[in-house]
Formats: sequence, C-alpha cells, structure tokens
Amino acid sequence: MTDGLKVVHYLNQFFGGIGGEEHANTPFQVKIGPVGPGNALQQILGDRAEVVATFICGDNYFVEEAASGARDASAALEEIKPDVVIAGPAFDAGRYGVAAAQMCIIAKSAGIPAVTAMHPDNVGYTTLRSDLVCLPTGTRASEMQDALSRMADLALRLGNGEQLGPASKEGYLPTGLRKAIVREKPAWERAIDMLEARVADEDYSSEVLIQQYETVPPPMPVADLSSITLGLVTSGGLVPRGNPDRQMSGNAQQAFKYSIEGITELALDEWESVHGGFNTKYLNTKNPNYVLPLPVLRQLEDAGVIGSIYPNFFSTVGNGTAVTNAKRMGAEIAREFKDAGVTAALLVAT
Amino acid sequence: MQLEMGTFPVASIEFAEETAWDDGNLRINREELLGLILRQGDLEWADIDITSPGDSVRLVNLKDLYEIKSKVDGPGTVYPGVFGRSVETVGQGRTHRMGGVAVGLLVDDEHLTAGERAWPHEGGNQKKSEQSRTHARFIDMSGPGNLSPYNSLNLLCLTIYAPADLNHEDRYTALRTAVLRVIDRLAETIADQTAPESEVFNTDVENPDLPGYVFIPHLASGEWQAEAGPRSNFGAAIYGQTRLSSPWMLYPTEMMDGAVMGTYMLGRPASWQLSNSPIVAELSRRHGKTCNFLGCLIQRTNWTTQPEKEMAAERAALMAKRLGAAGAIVTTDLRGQRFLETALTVQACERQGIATILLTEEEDNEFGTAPPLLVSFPEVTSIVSSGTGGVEEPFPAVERVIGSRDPSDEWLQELPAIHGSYGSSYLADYYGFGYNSFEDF
Amino acid sequence: MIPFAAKAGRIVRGMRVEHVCGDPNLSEENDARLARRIVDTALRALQTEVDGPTVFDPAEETASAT
Repeated sequence: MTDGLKVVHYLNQFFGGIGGEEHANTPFQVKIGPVGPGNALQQILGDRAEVVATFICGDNYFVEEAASGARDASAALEEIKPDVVIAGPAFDAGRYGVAAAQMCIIAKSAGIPAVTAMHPDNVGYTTLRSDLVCLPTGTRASEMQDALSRMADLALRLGNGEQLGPASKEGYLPTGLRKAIVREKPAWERAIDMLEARVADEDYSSEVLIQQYETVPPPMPVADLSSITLGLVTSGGLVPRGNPDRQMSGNAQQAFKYSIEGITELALDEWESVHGGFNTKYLNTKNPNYVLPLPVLRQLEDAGVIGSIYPNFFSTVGNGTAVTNAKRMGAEIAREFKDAGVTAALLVAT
Repeated sequence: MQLEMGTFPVASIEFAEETAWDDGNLRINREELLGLILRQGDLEWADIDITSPGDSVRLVNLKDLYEIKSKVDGPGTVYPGVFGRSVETVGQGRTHRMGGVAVGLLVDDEHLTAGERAWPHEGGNQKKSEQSRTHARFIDMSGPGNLSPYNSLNLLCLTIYAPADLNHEDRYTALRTAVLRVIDRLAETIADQTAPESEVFNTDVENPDLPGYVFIPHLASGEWQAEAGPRSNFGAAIYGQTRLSSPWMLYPTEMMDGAVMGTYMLGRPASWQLSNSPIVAELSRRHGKTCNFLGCLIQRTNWTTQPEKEMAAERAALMAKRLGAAGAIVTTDLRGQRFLETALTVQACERQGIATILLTEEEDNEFGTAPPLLVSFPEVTSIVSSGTGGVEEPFPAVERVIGSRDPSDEWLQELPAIHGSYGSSYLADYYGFGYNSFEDF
Repeated sequence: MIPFAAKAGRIVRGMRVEHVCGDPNLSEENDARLARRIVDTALRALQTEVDGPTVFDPAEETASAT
C-alpha cells in the first residue's frame, strides 16, 4: 500500500507472457499487479506509484475486435480507477503500437491520462499521434529499461495532474499540434546561433520539423477511356460573370458546381476568374478555358475518345485555402463523382 | 568596402519653430515638412503626427517605414536608384543616421478600390470577388500589439491622402517621393554634426580560413501585376529595380545605405527593416572574428513557371557557392508560391553543401491538422519560426488614431484578436525582429 | 505549380499558372494545338499505371492520332 499513484500497465500477448504471434488473438484480460516488464516498471516507480493491474490483450484482438476490446478496457478502467495508464513500450511492432495507442485514447476519453512509447515510424504513432503522449524508442527490446524509465517519469507527472511543456523539451513525439510561444531571443539571433551551431557541427533544434505529407495511393489506371465519364475540377476560380455565388478570391470554404451541359467552350463574356493569387487577365480578357480545357475535351468526346464528360464541373480557389477545407471539398467532390459513376477526373491546378 | 555609420540617437520628437536635431531631441517644424510633402501638386492633404512606444495610439494604413539618414561622405545617395535618385553604388564612406526613430508613410486610401490600393491587377476581378483575406490595417503602439520593432521606435508619421485620379505608377511615385523629400530634409540636420555613436563596417576578407556566410532575403516582385511591368516603380526595389531578375549580390553596407527598399504592404512595412536588418549588422560585426560575411544575395520571387523558379533558386545557390559560402541565412516575404521559391533556394543551397537556415513565418496549424509550412523538402532541415503573424488576444481601445484624414470611431474601440493564417495576420516578421514563435506539443 | 509536396499520383506539367492549358502568346491555331497536347498527356496519364507521384510532360507527347 502506497500513498502514490495507481498505475495500469497495458501489454500485448508477448510481453504479457502468454505467447507469440500464434496468440495474437488472445482476448482482453486483466491481471492483478505487474506482469513481465511491469516488474521493472514497478521497481523504477518505487513507492511513488503502484502498478495495481496489468491489461493484457492480443494485438490482433485489440485491433480487430476494436469494439469489444474497447468495451472491456473501459469497464476495467471504470472498476480500477487508475490515476494514469502506461501502454507498451511497443518499439517497432506495428499492431502492438496501434493497440497501445488505442488503449491510451480509450483511457483519455475516460478522463485518465496515458503515456505510451514506440518507434517514430510505428504506424500507431503516425496515424494516431494527435491524441497521444508518445515517447520515442528504437527498435530493440533491449532498450526496455530506458523506455520504461522515461515513461515512468512522464506518467508520474501526468498522474499528478501536470501539464506537459513542448515536445522537444519533454522528450515526447510531436502530436502535430503547434502552439504560440515567446522565445528568449529574437528570431534573428536564433538564426545566427543555429547557423553557427550547424557550421561547427554542434547540436541544434529546428523550430519546425520536416513534414511528412500524406501519400494517397494512386488508383488503378483507366482501362478504356471511351467507356468512362470524366469529371472536371478547377482551382482557377472560374465563376459565371458577376460571381453570383460569391466565391472567395482566396481561403475558399466551398467548391461551387456549374453546369456545362451542352456547352462546347466557356465563353469569355459568360465566365471569369476571381482567383486572387495570380494575374487573371488572360482568363478574363482572352480565354477562361485556359484553366478548364473544355473545347479540347468536347472534341475528344465527340470523336469517341472519351466516353462522356460529366455535365457539371467543380470550381474553387487555392490561395490560402485551409487544408481542412480543401480536404473536405475534395471528399465532397469525390463523393458526387462516385455516386454519378464518374471514374476518372481532371483537376486543373493553379 | 568600408562604411562608417554615425548614429544620432533620438529619444524624443517634438514640434517646434525649427527643424533640428539636438542632443537626442528631434525638433520638427510641421509647416515646413508639410510644405515639402504637398509640393507635389497631386497631393491635396497631408498631416504629421508624432508617437512613441507606450502611447495609446493606433496607426492605420501604415505602408512603409523609413530610416532618416544620408551620405555625408563617399559616393551615391541613400535609397539609391528609386524615383530618379542616383544609381551610384553606395555602401562606402560615411553615412549619418538617426537611431531610435523611423518615418512612417501612412496612406489614407480607403476611397480607392482594392485593386488601386495595392498590387495592381489589370483585368483582374478583385473588386468583385469576396475579399476573405484581410491583413490588419492597423498597428498599435501599446498593448499586445506593440511588437518589434515598433516597441523601440519613436515614429514620425506622415499621413497622406491618396490622390484618386492618378494612374497607379504616378500615385505611388507621388507618395514615395514625398516621404523621401522629408527624409532628406531631416537628414540635413545631422549632416554637419559629429555623431555621438559611430561604428565602422568592413567586410573585406582578411582571414580566408573563417567560414563564409551569405544572407539571402527573398523579395516578391510585382512585375507581372504592374501596368509598367518590369519598369514599374512599385514594391520592393534594389537600386530602384523592381523587376524579376537573377539574384543581386550586394555588400552588406549597401543594404545599410538603403539599396534595398521594401514592399509597401499593410502589416509588412519593410524599408526600415531591410536597411536595419540585425542579421546584416550582426554578421558584419562578427566578420573577421568568427566568420567572413561574404555578401547579401537579394533574390526576387514571383516567377510564374516551375522551370524559372528552379533556375532562380539554382543561380542563388551557385552564386553563394562561388563566393565561398559555408553557410547561409535565408528569409522570405509573401507566402504562397513565393514561399515555394524560397524553399527551392534553401534546397539548392543545401545541395551545394551550404548549411542553410530558413527564417520564416509559419502557416496556421489548424489545431494540429495542417502542416506549419506550405511546402517542405527534405533538405529544409533548419528552420527558425517567427510565428504566424497573429495576436491571440484582443487589442485594447485607444485614445488616438493616426493615419486617416477622417478616422472612423471604430478604430478607437477594442479590436478582436487576430488569428494568424495565410492572408489574415497582424504583423509579418520577415526579418526576425520579434520573439514570437511556435512550438510542437 | 508542380505540387512537389502534394502526393497526387498523376501530375501533368502545364504552362503557366495564369494559363495552364495553353499559351496566349501563340497563334490561335498553335494555342489550340498546345491545349490538345496537354489534354492528350492527361488522358495518357489516366491510362498509365503509377506507383507513386509521377509527372507526365506534354513535351514528350507525340502527335495525336486523331
């Protein structure tokens, strides 16, 4: 019995001592006290905290039977009421990483802080990082002691209701969230310091880390153009003259849909571009089709090269449009295309 | 090249019978300076105001800030090449400047259309489209909005009512030359006096073993938007040149003499910032001690095809390499595709083996769902962030508004916080004067 | 602007931002030909299997059959 915090430790079937891959479907279970590496964890925690229970679950089970795994975990948390949950470390085991991450998220939604640890490339971190306090590890179980030690430190602080500082200071992996801070030196001085550090081969910390952008796997190619319906999208800001829908010149919230049924080209006196990020004079005084090549597409449609052109095109602008809005617009356009049997699309990007 | 910079500090400014600098006090004969401004027949109304950090003052319509200085010895004139001024190379001899003060150009242009106010847009439809993006029209001299460098400068504010019936070039010329007349006049007051503070800048290479550094600021060109195209007077200029050109190599002291002038845009006045760049000053001071400051490569942006962007980036990198640079500090200005060009320069420099630091604003994080930079190449590894340009708390009500012929009462009220994002920010910190930044959580 | 950062699978190189699918400095006939070549490239891209972001260049497009 300690005055310290109550900790629940989550382990997979392997670290939980049940078995290897063949036991990956082991259902969720609760053991009293620490198990396996949990013993080392308890040693590290000393009398500051007690590992009152260990949740063990097969990697496949927790991920594939997500609903029942979550239900079991929530019920167990409800009964035990720990101050903090420690999940893993999962190192570079992908399914374990996902399970550990999900365990943390379940705890978080029950109002219990949680910390996990895994390799930065672990899909558990890369896909779920926005909701995690996740420490980086390498790939070897031989780092267990170090990982448990770092997890223990953060767990104690979180369990005591502390707010953590920035990722670089506390040693956890960025969640993707950035917050405004005031630094001690002005930016010009930090730039010179950073340059001198780099040139002298000393350690330095970039204030922005290299981003990994989402890669969308390219769909299979079109087998037969002459049988498909082609959808058209432009970010050139094309709108009917007068901009009746009041499209923005930048920071667009919506893509607007306009009919091109029966139209073989966009007429100069009927269309204009409201894009605020480039000189629209060619579009507005010469030829709006430069950002939606309708005449050529109609020729190809007439010649039977393309099956048909979807009768509506979608128009929006980039120019500072928020990523979240762009994603939503894209999904909405894709949904309409899919519902209408459009299987390929042309996006003219500006 | 060697430049001796004599500084006359200004602790206070006041209106008086005569225009003179005397032991830290700058006295201004208001009528005299107004006369200089209104000498240009197209300008029908102007006003002059004084303000200092801590005043309950809101500046509106601030388009640019200038340093008061002049050449007292050596070739050329400060702010060379603009509006008919001599293009003789500057950066040598002796220059006298006033410290702790700047002259603001505030242009009351609310009666003009959006297209007429800023970057010209022939055939464009910015008038009709919804203006969803609004850079703040104001800068506060106290409260949470009093940021660097405004929190350390006494300001002499020239408010000029923008003439409506001129074409864009002529209007811009009238406004800018008016300010230059005032600056030249004020600089006369210190031309023959002995500077209380003096510093010598010399970036000749004495010790070739020290690592060489270059400074590479990126300045957007308005060439493709201006009626006069490459010959336009509008926007950032190097010896008066605004066109899209290959990078210009300048000695640091040329920048100190005002060879590079700023953008003329709300929230990002830059002429003072460019001629007082602390990066240029500090690297010049460290020259010969910890580094060789090899030069300033002024890069233009707003190329409109990918090959042009790539080529411009490569030229800057090769120029840096040929000069012997081991390191570079890169800055950017307007965002969007111009930031892409800046990132390409960083990439090109890194590929030449030049350790490159990018000092930049960052994009709105959108609560962790959007990346902090528009584009990100793996070579762009070393970034200093000057924040998103926002101020996340409200701006308190003020007692006085400067910058409008007939200021609306709305400007006196408390104004809501401004969340920094592309196209909507309070103050852009391109050259790293401030302490605001962002951090990963 | 070629989206280096974007991971779109099939990217066709257009002309300039202001006139992606053509060139107002060309004669009407050549401008139309250029537009045709760019669109042909796009159609070719749609019919090509790709593993990841791939740029298709109209400059490599041979004269269209129709």
